[in-house]
Amino acid sequence: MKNKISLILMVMVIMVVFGSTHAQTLDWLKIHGFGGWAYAKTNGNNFLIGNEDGNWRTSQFALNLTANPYSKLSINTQLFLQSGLQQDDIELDYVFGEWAFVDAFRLRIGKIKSPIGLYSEIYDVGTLRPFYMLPVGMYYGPGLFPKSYVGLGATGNIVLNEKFEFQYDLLFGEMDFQTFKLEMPIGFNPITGPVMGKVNFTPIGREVIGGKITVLPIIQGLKIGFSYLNMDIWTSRDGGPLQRDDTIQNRVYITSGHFEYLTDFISLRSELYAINEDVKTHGGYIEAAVMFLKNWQAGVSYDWYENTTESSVERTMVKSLMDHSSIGLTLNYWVNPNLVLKASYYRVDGNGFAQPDWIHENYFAGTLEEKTNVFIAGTQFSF
Amino acid sequence: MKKITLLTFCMIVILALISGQSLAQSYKVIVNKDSSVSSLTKDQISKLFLKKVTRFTDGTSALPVDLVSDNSIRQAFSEDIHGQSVASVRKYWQKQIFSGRGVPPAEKPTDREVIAYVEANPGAIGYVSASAVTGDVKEINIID
Repeated sequence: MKNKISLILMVMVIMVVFGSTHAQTLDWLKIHGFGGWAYAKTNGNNFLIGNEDGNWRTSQFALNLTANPYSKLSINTQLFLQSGLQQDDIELDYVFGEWAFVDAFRLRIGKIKSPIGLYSEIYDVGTLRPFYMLPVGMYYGPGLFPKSYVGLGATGNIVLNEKFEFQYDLLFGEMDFQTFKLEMPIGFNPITGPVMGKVNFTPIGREVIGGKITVLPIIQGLKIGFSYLNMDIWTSRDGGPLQRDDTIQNRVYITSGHFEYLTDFISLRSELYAINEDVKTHGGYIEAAVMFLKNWQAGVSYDWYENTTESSVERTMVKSLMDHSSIGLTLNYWVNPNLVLKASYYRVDGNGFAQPDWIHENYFAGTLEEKTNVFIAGTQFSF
Repeated sequence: MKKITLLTFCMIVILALISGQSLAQSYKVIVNKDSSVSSLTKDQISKLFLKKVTRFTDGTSALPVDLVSDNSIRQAFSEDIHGQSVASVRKYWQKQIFSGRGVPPAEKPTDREVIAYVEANPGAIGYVSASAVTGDVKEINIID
């Protein structure tokens, strides 16, 4: 797998080197990309890209192509490669065509970037955020905001007057959510009791309808918005056939609100979300960063997540698995707007997303740590 | 003491006016000579260059062209028209590119190349230094 990724990376670098020259001569084709590399260490639990031993295994690279064969038609695609602690991935983030009838109505078809929230569309682009990682309690942990959906979408920009405009997105289709592992009994030993194992669950949202509306009021740099998704949830267990989860009978709906204020020196972002009906989860984050001494940036964040789904709470003895909160601090050096060095620290509370290899074993042994310190240092770039 | 305060205030006002004037005078906005557009507000120009609006008021498709990022005229244009630094505008385009929402205007390294681009493309709109000789293109009025 690593050889394949290296080979593809090499081909991409060659494409970028030759392609960028080529793209300048072809006005209808643009090549861009982004990536990053990080070291991550924790003081015990595994937390996303970090583990107790510390590792340099997290690297990402994406190649983005935009073609405009006609003025009203654009074709967009992005190939994403990732090497990490848990697995290596190669995926097509999106590939879709867009026909611009007018500025206020553009029709999209294909595997389309999910417009929900502030960061779904720019999920892995590290030069567009202050922290190396996205807010965990919203984007990575619960995995509720996928990068893309397959289906049909509409988007538009409506300028009401000089100082007031809004953007909208509508979507219909199917969404793949992030695969997650659950530690659960997979057998029974008459001497030792239940045998614990890890099971992969991949939820899929079917007949998804939703959208986002963002208002850009009079203050430059300010955005306020609201997103909504409504869907049937089907789940595949360890790559098996898709089935409806007995505990999720009704259509699930996710609502979220977002706020963003960006200037040359300050960035402020906050989002809140809630899932209702049979799955009950809520969370959010607040993130602030300030530039100083021209190239330096300091940032602070707080994010949280709470799962109050009755069936999930009943299923586990380890209550800290239902919660997560973290305070993050970051210090960044921006070489230029396309290249940044970041050093971030998180103090994580709860085992929602910070867990040892075997949770129940540690829980019964009394060694389950609910608090985790995480250090991440890395570089991120875009072109 | 009051005199000093008043004097300082006057000097600040004068400096602000001078710097504002020099900013506005350091570039001019040009369109193709066949374009019917003769004047645009700063906000209209900003929306055309950020591709939030893709047509002129007469309905023709707009084809904006920028100077390269490190050009001082680009910096003056960005501050005056967008009210943002070039770095902030580049961030805006990063976001548009990677969310599959659009790509930035073509960039040219010199005034001469911007003028040639505007001459060659009927819907083109660009900006060049105020001192540039703009033979076969039309300079437009910028309304505050």
